[in-house]
This record gives sequence, C-alpha cells and structure tokens, in this order.
Amino acid sequence: MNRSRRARLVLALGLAALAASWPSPSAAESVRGQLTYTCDAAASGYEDQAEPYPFGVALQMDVPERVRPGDVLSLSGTLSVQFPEELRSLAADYFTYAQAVSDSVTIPVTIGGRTTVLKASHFDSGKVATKNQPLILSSVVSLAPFTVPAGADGDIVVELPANGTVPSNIDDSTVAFTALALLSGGVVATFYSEYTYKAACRAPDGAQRTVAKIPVARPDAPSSEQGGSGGPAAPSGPADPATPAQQRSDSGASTGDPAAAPATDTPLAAAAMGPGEGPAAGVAGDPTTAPVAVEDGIRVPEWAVLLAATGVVLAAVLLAGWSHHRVRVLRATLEG
Amino acid sequence: VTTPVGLWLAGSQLRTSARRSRGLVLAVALGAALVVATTVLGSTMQRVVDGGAGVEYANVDLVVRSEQGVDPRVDGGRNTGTSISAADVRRISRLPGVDAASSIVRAQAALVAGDRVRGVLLETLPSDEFVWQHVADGRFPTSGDEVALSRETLDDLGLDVGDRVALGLPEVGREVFTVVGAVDVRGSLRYGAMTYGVVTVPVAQALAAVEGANEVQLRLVPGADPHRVVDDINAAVPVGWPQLTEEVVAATDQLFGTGLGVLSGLLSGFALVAAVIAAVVLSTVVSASLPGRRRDLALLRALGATRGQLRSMVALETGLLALVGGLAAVPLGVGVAAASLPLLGHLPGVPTISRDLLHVPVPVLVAVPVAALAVGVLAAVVPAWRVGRVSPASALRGDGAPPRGRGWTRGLPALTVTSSLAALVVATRAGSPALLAVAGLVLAVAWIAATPSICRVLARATVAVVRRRHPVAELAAAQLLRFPGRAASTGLAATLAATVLGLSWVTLASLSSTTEERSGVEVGPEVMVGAYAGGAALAPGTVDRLAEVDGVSDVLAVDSTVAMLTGPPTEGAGTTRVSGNVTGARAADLARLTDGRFPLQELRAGTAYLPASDLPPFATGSTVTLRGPDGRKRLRAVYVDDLPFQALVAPRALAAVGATGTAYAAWLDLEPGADRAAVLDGVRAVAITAGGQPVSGSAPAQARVDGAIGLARGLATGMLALSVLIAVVGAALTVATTVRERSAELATLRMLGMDGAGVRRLVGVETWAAGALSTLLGLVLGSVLGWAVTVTAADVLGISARVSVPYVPLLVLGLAQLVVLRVAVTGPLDRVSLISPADSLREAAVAGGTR
Repeated sequence: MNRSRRARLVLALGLAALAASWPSPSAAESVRGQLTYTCDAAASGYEDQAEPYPFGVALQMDVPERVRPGDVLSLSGTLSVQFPEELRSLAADYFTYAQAVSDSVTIPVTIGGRTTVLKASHFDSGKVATKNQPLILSSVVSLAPFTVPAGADGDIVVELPANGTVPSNIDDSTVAFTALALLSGGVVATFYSEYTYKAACRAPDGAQRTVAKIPVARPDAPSSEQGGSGGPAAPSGPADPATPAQQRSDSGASTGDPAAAPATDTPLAAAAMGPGEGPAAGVAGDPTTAPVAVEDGIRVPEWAVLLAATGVVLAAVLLAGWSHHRVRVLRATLEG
Repeated sequence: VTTPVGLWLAGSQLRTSARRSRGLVLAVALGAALVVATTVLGSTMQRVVDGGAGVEYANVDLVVRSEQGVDPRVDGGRNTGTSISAADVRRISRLPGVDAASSIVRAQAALVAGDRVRGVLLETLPSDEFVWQHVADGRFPTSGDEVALSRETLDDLGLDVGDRVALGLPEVGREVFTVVGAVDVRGSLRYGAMTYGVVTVPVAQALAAVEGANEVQLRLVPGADPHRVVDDINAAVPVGWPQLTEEVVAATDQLFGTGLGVLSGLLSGFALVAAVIAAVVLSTVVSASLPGRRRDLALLRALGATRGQLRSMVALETGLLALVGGLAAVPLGVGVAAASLPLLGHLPGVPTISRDLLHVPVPVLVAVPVAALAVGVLAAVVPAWRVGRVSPASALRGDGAPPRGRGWTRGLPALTVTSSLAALVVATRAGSPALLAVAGLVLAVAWIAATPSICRVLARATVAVVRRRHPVAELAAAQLLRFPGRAASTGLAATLAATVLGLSWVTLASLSSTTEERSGVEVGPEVMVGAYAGGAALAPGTVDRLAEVDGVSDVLAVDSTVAMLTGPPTEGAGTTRVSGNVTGARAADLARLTDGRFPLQELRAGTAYLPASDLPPFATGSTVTLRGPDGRKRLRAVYVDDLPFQALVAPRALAAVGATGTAYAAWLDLEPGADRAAVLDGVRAVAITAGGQPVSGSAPAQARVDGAIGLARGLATGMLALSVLIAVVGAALTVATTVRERSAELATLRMLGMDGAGVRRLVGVETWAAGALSTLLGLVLGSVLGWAVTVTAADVLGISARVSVPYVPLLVLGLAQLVVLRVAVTGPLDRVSLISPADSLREAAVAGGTR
C-alpha cells in the first residue's frame, strides 16, 4: 500500500468514525419517565379504610426527534405500574394473579405553553402472576392522534398523569388517575372468584413528571423520518402491538426441560465454564465492578468520541498535506 | 385476723387431703404450663420475625430493581429482564444523599438434585460492605461451575458441600455445578423460607438474561430523605423501580407476622381453654369435697370459727393449690416450649427456629403464677359461698341432703336452653359475630346448667326401663336420679373439653366442605400452569411433559396472541383501544377441561368475548375491530361473567387476521380418584423446570385449604387432648371425693349382701353414665356451636355454607375420652371394692377425718 492510499484510508476511517458518533437527525428516541405516586388503596366496599401506598408508575415511549406544525402525531407507549411490596407480598400469599384495569389514565401534552389533557386508551394489564418481584403491571396505552398547530413552536412536552384530573374512586376528591386491581386465583378465590382493590393516585407536589420533550421545527425545516408519529416503546421488534408475539417467541429458545437439556452451546454453558476455560469466568461480587461486567460494560463518553474523531480527521488532513508536500518536493528534486 | 386463721385452716385441710391436693396441683400445672408454653413460643416467634424480617437489608436503605417480568411484545415472552448498567449504577451513586451503592444480579432457575426439583433464587454477592450472608461451611463460589446453597436448602435436599447439582432454565440450558459452600442466611425470614443460592456474576447474568445488574442497593448518608432520593432516581436515572427497604422489611414482617400471629393465637386460644378447664376442675373438686367436710366445718363453727374464716379457708385452699400449680407450670411450660420449638419448623410457613433462639418473657412468666392464684381464688367463689351456708346444728345432726328445687323451677332449665337456642338461631341469621359470641356463651352456660335436669330425666327413664331386671343399673340410675348435680359436676370439665372438640371439628369440617363445594363450581380448570400475561410463554415440550405426569388425564394448551381491539367506549364518543392477550380456543376444549363448567357452550367466529367487569372498555354489543398482522376483523363485543381470559375469540377469528397463538398457559384435568397432592407435586416439578411457571386452579387451592384445615385440626386435637387429660384428672378426683362421701351408703350395701365387685360395678356404672352423658352433651353443644359459627362466617363472607358433622371422628374421640375417664377412676373404684363394710361404717361415722 503506498502512502497515498494509506492516507485516503485513514481519512475515510476518520470521517466514518465522526459520522457514526454524530446522532442521526431522523432517529426516533426511546424515552422513559417515571414517578412514585401515592395511591389511596382499599378493598372494594371498604373505601373508608383506604391507606396510602407508594405505587411506581413509568411511561416508556418512542417519540420522533422533532415535528413540524401540521404534522399528525400519534403517541403510544407502555405504561407500567409497580405494586408496592407490602400489597404484593400479601397478594402473593392469597392470590395467584393480579390484573390492573383503568379507564382514567390521562396524559398532559403541552404545546406552546398550552396544556391539553389527552385521555389514554383503556389500560388492562391482563392477569400477571403475583409471585413476580417486583410486580409490574403493564399495558400498551395510546393517545388519539392530534395535529401540531400551525403556529406552534418550542417543544411539545409529554408528561405523566397530573393531579386534579379525574374524580377519585375512593372519596370525593380529584386525583391523577384511578385504577382497579383485580386479584384472582389461589385460596381466597375459592370464596371470591375475583377480589377487587381500588386505588386513587396522586403525584407528589412539585414532582418532575416530564416524559418527553419533542422540539417543534420551523415549517421549512426537514421533517423527521418518522413523519411525526411515535410508537410504543419496544427495545426490539415492531411498534405495532398487534404484531403476533409468536413470530419472535422461538428465537433464542433452546431445549424444553433444563433437567434434560444437553449441556452444550447454551448461554449458561458459556457462563459456567471454569477458571481459565473461557472469558466468562468471574467471581461472585458486584457485577458492575466484577471483571466480566467491566469487560462488558465499558462506556466511552460522547465527547471523547467526538474529540478522538476530530483528532483523527485533523491527523488525516495533516498527513495528506504532508504527503502531498513530500510528493511535490520529490518531483521537484527528480525534475531538477 | 380472718386471713391468718383461714391460712392456717387451709394449710391443715391441704395436709389432710394430700392426694386430692396433688391431683389438683397437677391439673392446674398442666393447664398453666400450656399457657406458659404458648406464651414462650409466641414470644420467640415474634422475636424471630422482628429479627429476621430485614436481615438481608441491614445496611441498605433503598433498592432499585429492574423489571424481571416479561414484556410479551418483546422476544415472544422470553425471560428478558431489563438490565441496569454500570454507568447507571455510578449515576445513581452520585445522586445527592447516596452514601454508597452496590449492585447484584438475581435470577430464578430450576435446581435439580437427584430426582428432586426445586425453584431456586440465585444471587451474586454485593460489594463487601453490603454482604449480609455468612458462610457456614466451605466458601462462596469463585468460578462459573460452583454454587453455594443455603443451609436450609442443603438440608431440604439432603445435600452437603462437595455434592453436585444441576441448575438451568429452558432458554439457557442446564449445567452441573459443584456445591462449594453452605450459606448462612442469618435468620432471614425470606431467604430461610426459600431455596436459595449464591453464584458467580456470569452465571446469574446468563440465567437472568441481563448484561448488567438487576438490583442496586443503596446506603444513604445519615439524615438524607429517602423519598427525595427516590424522586431523584425517578427523575435522573429512570432505569428501575426504587423502593425503600423499610417498606420491603415491613412487608416481610407483615407477611410472616400475620401467619405466625394466627398460629400463635390458635395455640394461645386452646391453651386458654385448657386453663379454663383446669379452673373448672379446681372449683368442682373443691365443691364436691364440701359435703364430706360438713362435719368438720360444723365443728369449726361450733368452736367459734366465723363464716368469713371458713370462706377464707376455702378460698385460700384453692388459691394455694393454684399458686403451687402455677409455679410448677413455669419450668414445665418452658420445657414444653423448648421441646416443641424445632417441631414448629415442620409446619408450613413457619421458619425453622433453633432452641438457641428460645425467648422467655420474664414479666409474663411472673404473671402466670399470680394469675393462677387469682383464678384459684375466683374458682373458690362457689364453694366458699356454700361453706358459708353450713348450719352447725344440721351438719352435726347429719342432715346432708341437698335442698330440692321447687316444682315450678323444674322446667326452668328446659326453658332456658330452648330460649338460648332460639337466640343462637336468631344471632346466626343476623350474621353478627358479636351477637353470635354472646348467644353462644349464654347457650353454653344454660346447657351446662341444665345438665343435672337432663341427668335426672335420663335416670328416671332408665329406672323405668331396667326396674328389677338389672339391680346394679337400677341402683346406679337411682343414685343419679337422687344426686344429678354430683354426676353433672363430675363430668363438667369433660363436657367443656368435648364442647371445644366438637366445635373445632365441626367448624373445620364445614369449612372444608364449603370450599370443596365452591371449587366444584369454578369455571376454570382443576390445575393451570402459567399466566395469561406478564410472564414467559411455556417452554417447548412443557405441555407434553405435563401430560406425562401420573394422574393428569387431559392437557390443553391455551394459545394467546398480543393484539389490539378498538371500538366505541361505554360512554361518550370516540374510540377505545385495548391492547393485550387475545386467547383463541375452542369452546368444546374449554368445556372438556372444566367438566362442562365453562360458561360458554360455543364460540361464534364473529364475537369477541370479554370478562364482565366494573370497567368494561366497550359498549355492550358494540362492534369492535380486532387488528392482526394480516388484517382486521370486526367482532361483536359480548361480556361474560367469570371469564378467565382478557379476551376470547374463536380460533377462526384469529386466523382471519393472520394471528397464531402462543401457549402462555396450560389447563389440566386430573383423573378422578388420583392422589391430588402427588399429582400436584409432579405438575409443580414440570412448572419449575419450565421456567418457574405459577401453578393455580381449584385443585391447588383446595389442597392448600385442606392442608391448613388439617394443620388446624391436628393442633386443635393435640392441644385439646391435654384439656381432656385435665378434665379426666378432675373427674377422677371428683369420683374419689364423692365415693368417700358415700361410705355409709356403700357399707350398707355391703352389709345387705352386695360383694366388693358389685359395689365396684355400681360406682363404675355411675361413672360410665356420668362420663357418657357429659361427653355426649359436650359434643352436641360443640356441634351446634360449630354449625352457628360456620353459618355466620359464611354469611359474613357472602357465600352459602355447607355444614358438615364428622360423626365418625367425633364418635371415636368421644369414646376415647370416655375410656380414658373410666381408666382414670380405676384406682378409686378399686379402693371402694376392697374396703370392708366395718371400715366403711367407721369412715362414715368419722366423716371429715383423713382423706
């Protein structure tokens, strides 16, 4: 390889590294906002004995990087609710499944300083095993599509449910949202096929509820590749919740019975290699400081990548210029 | 002046009736020892709960856990836990108020040791300052083929350090690990109650399907507001679910505290019954001894003793007996508690407690003898009152016959019992537990008060039946007819014991019958493996392995798919969207697995069946749209009561939109007559190896109810056996006392030609009759109260009751009590038969002498 080709290669690699480190303007961003709500919870019929419990609430959604006025925005995501441990452990002792349903979830959306509370779709987690710890009840929720107003500017702010939005199902107050927890299966189900708990939830005063801020671009600016629509947050797989799960269900599956499965070529086999038998061998201890975790968890800051890429480009340019100078000097020497 | 004289007189009486005194001390000691034992056990269990609820979080103020459930849209429901990266941990550790942070990886897996399978929780160790586990033997694992298991797990599986076990999950395979250590969980309630082990980071990460950690443990700086830190984590590093450890500890405390509290309450309740019976024995035996001491008491009165001094004498006599019994009960009770402490660990839900943890609450133990003394004095109220009524002149004349009731009072007991029964029925219909308690107590008192009358009626009938054909029986019946109160007091304690026995058995049998009846009408399957949402799909091959379990007659894979339904809301305009698992199944299959109990006989292709709910998403009968990968289908929304699925459609409807289901759950039908416990063990083993799938349904619920009822019945019978023993001691003492009172009568019979065996037979028949009557009346009263308790409890729960009386067990228990009672009085009867007529007459003449 002559010096000229090497210089071009170095330059190309530097530019590629720079490009790779620069965020794509069209990429959708997965965002998550979460907050611990205080929910008054009581068994149905015993609302006067309601007690406050901390319920974690998280909303994860994919949002477009930016939108333009006139774009139609369809927001949807996964809303998750964490059962407080005190209720979960009791529920697990007497019931097999828990299900959360709500038709009062609302999502405040602020455009140009004006907030509109949009009603989310019906929340229904389905029957989830109460032995899960933590017990998270999730459902895909979506908002009715809306058009970004013509004169909008600034950011579109999407938030978690705000206080004073819906009437409480416990008392006469207004709260952020309400829900029913339906407990079934297990011993108590012999007497009650389904035991209903009511919950009325409030956000802490002054709490940060922001889930996403979507910049509104000028009308002449290029639009986001997604055309101004968001989808449910999913680390992998299509956004459409109607996509059948079984299409992906068998990927990565190995044998059925672990007691009968062959002990080769499995993730556990790799992890279970003895000392010196493979790179996965580690020690019991903090996984974030253990050797294996460190190998797997190196994170380079973005500024360092940018600095390195810029340095590579500059070095390539300097190398090219120096090479060109050497060529000119050599040609001049040969030509006398 | 009264008390010292009374004390001297009481001491004199106790010395002259040493045998009776020893018997009464024994009865009181047994009853009080049970109270001491249950108090010590309750205190020890409470300390174990208090100390073991938060062992694992001793240095932790806050935890952040990532979700280990499964988003079914991702990876088809595989075990894809979310991960907390090292960078996230660092960011959390830098938040204001955080002093130190450490992370661990937690994973569920199947543990196979020989032919035993357990679901095991595996963890990595946190950093040194957060490590709470100790090593009891060996060491913690350092390489990827090693595991350390908790001591409880090793004991459960019969393993030791150096043995090999297999760990695995369907999606990650199975490997053999060497047990290199025994983990000491230091009394942790949660970890002591589960199968637990420590592995290396890569192993845990592979099993949990995470790349980083899934729990971060935080220690806060002193004075930091943990709620503020939670808010900061939510706002700045929303990667997991922050939770205060005090909430987790409180949950553990509540969970185990409730269970142990119920157990402790149950034991204390039965101990209290035993103590009450001991007090009744004390009172009845002292009362029974009074007629034989009338001459002594009359002489004391003639010598100048006041009524108060005589009353003090009796009160102090019983008080001293109770005090000595109470003092003896303390070491006896502590010994019983120490002996039974390890046995408690065999009860389901009760942690193993070593004798080292035995806690003796000193204030309570001091209070027991004092309380015994008080109860003893209280038990003397009736005898002392009767002593005060002794007329010296009539006593010295020998007018010992008790006053007969007036004619109009003869029918009073029957009237009282009838009225009390009516009140009990009314209280039961009212469904008020408080009213029931009062009515039940009134009925019990009226019932016991009516025992002499019942005895008299039965004796009169017996006399009429056996007249001149069975002289001994006729004589015995005549005695009962003449002294029905004596027979009643002989069996009073036995009546109480039989009452509580009958109440316990009828209530528990009725509870079992009621739950069984309700299980029989549940629309779901006998057994279900898996969950419809929030969990992994069944591993391939699971359904086949379930079908191979002995006792499983049929298995149905319940296929579901994640889909969206849209349609008009119940109120207002617009569109409602519901995303969740839509199940596709054939009605015939669902009906077959539920023996026809499933609420739908057919599924129409154009209908979406939804569970009836307080929050229905769509208007009833409206048209909804099912969206699938290959299209949409319009369906009519129909709501069905008790539908177990989120949404149910015919398989054709799913096929029409290009969706095919995944088996998230399987329904099982069991063979009739199969051993439910054995079948469930087999099913659970498959469920564990299939990824820790939950097992539910009517059969597991019924098995758990049966287990709890069996445990309660065993405890009740065991504890009440001691009550029966105390009652028997009391009956034997009463018989012995009354026999001496009848010395003249028995001597007369001997002089009239009855031999010793005849006298023995006569008193024996009387004892049989009194014992049988007491036991029978107690069981009947207990059964009536059990019926009332069952009906009221069902009324409170809003269900229909099915009262069941276990006749055979009650009959066996009653006969056992009767036989023990008869055996216990053998000694007094033998003495009666051996004593010569001359001795009897001399004893009668000097009645009030040495007893």
